[in-house]
Amino acid sequence: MGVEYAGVLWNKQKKQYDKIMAFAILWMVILFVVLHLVFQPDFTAETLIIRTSAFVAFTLLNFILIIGPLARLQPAFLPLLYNRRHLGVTMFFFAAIHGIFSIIQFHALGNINPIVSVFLSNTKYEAISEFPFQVLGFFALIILFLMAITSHDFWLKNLSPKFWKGLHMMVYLAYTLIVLHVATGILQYENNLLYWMLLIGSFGLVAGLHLASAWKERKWRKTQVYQLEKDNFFEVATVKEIPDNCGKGIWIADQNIAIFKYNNCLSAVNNVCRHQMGPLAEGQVVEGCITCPWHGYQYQPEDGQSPPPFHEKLETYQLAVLNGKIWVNPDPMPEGTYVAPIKITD
Amino acid sequence: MGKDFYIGWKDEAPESNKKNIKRLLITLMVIISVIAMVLVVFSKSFTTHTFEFGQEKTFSGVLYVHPFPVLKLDKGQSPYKGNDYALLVGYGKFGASTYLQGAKIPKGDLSGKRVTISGTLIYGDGKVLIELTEKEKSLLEIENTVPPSAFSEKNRATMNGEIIDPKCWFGVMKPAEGKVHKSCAIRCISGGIPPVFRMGDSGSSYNYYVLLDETGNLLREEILPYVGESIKVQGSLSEINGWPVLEIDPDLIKYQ
Ligand code: HEM
Ligand code: FES
Repeated sequence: MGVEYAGVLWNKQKKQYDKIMAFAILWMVILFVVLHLVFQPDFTAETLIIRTSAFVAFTLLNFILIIGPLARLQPAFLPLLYNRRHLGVTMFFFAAIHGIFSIIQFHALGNINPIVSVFLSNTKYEAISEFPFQVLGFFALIILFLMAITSHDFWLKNLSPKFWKGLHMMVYLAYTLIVLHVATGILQYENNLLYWMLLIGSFGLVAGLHLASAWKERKWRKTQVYQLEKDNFFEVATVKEIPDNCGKGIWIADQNIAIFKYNNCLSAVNNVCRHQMGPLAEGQVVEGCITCPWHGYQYQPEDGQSPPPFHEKLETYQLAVLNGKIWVNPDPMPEGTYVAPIKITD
Repeated sequence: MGKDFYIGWKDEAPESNKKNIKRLLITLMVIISVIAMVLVVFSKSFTTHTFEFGQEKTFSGVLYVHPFPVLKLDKGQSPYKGNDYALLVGYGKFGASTYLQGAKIPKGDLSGKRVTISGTLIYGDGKVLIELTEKEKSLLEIENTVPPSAFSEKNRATMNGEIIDPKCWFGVMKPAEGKVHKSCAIRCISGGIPPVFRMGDSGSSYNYYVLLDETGNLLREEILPYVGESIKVQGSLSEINGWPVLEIDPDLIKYQ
């Protein structure tokens, strides 16, 4: 197939990320086991494995899902996003232990195939509290599996970022299925108000942070009303408001545009990173290149191209400066088109 | 250069990022630890029932096959004084009856014969079961015949409780009741493990009855929709082969 990809590099920070992740997970596992030894000493090994892996997987999933909106609301948390895929794959690993052990424990060594048994032992599909909750977990696990095996940048390239992002948006479906799996499963047995509060609380946290960041984005778009127009150029910003080596995002005529100020020049490119659609305007110009705040992909400001050996290309836009005001033409130039940077003259 | 800007592929993150993330992670780990504590401490306690997994032993006694297989253990082999009647169950989610029929040694009806078997003990709440771990090979010896067991008098009764599979409930799995265990119990009973009606509310003290139909045969597929749920049953009570039994018409089972 010959698709080229250049992986995000394996560096000190990434190793540190993994180390902290491993430590946190180890802590959760040890804590859960010790708590059982102390408070629930009559456990069976299978139940301990099933419950510990479920606890770790569900906790990690909640954490993974709040990183995105958290970083949108507070850029200080961007480093959490950088290596999120390792978290995702690890979460799948624990979810798989839980699912596979559950199938072996509750469905294997019987008179029908274990997978068939997941679907056909409890057949009360019309009920709510008696619903066969295992089925919900099963489909969630399939989604997580597809995401885990396509998590590498190789697949991102091969499947196209749009398709990949679509596939990975299914994590929200998986999350919903898992919340329902817990609500119609263990919470029908451990019918304790505290547990309901924890489940609803974690769902509320994930949903609330997403709503908050979407609301922030919407509010920002609403402020994007530009009327001063001349020859299809719109006045969108002042030169002063953009700090050196920083960007400003503009939403105009359905175009998401990032304007950058660097070396006493201005350039504009499409605001959507070709890697995973990160917001470039929230990045900075580093060593002459626009650098994405999410995973650090880089683009030359004047033509929107990634420096060799990379091949990513962004649309570029024409700018003009008049009396300290920046004007932009929202008609995109084809990806990678050179547009001469505008010199800023005081 | 503008504000601190984090780039993942650089070796160092800006100090402000490090500080914020450290604070967030520590807060989260504390919250998660408290949640773990709440989850474990407030969950229902497990039973003290026991499955002697991996410790196969030989047992001798008198075998009864109908309507469900029971081995009346010779003295000193039961973990409970005063209850020598061990219900026999199969390996995995199967009953023991097919093994007994398929065993190599027996000729004719096994009921009431003295046998030696190998198996794994399951016991709890005063009841004893033996898993025939080696399947057909579990039946080791058969001796002379002894008189068949007595069937006691019958009494009508109505009671509330839950249908469980005794193999899991008396020690193999925990928890082995209610919603989480329903599918497994359905598989076990469907596979021939005798269904047991556990009388009493969850968490109280229980009485146990093997469920038979009104002709005295083990119930199986007919009661699967009720397994693991709170139900009310009515029927006639008696004792067979040392186990209390309840003969019911499955059509009269009611959800609670
Ligand atoms: C093949 C798929 C799955 C099956 C058959 C399955 C089965 C089960 C069962 C039987 C329980 C109750 C266990 C108990 O007695 O405590 C349970 C609980 C739970 N499951 Fe799943 N599950 C599956 C997939 C998943 C996935 C993908 C997740 C994602 C994290 C998940 C999360 C949980 C959680 C958080 C609980 C509650 C904690 C517990 O009771 O262990 N499950 N599941
Ligand atoms: S989205 Fe990953 S680098 Fe931009």
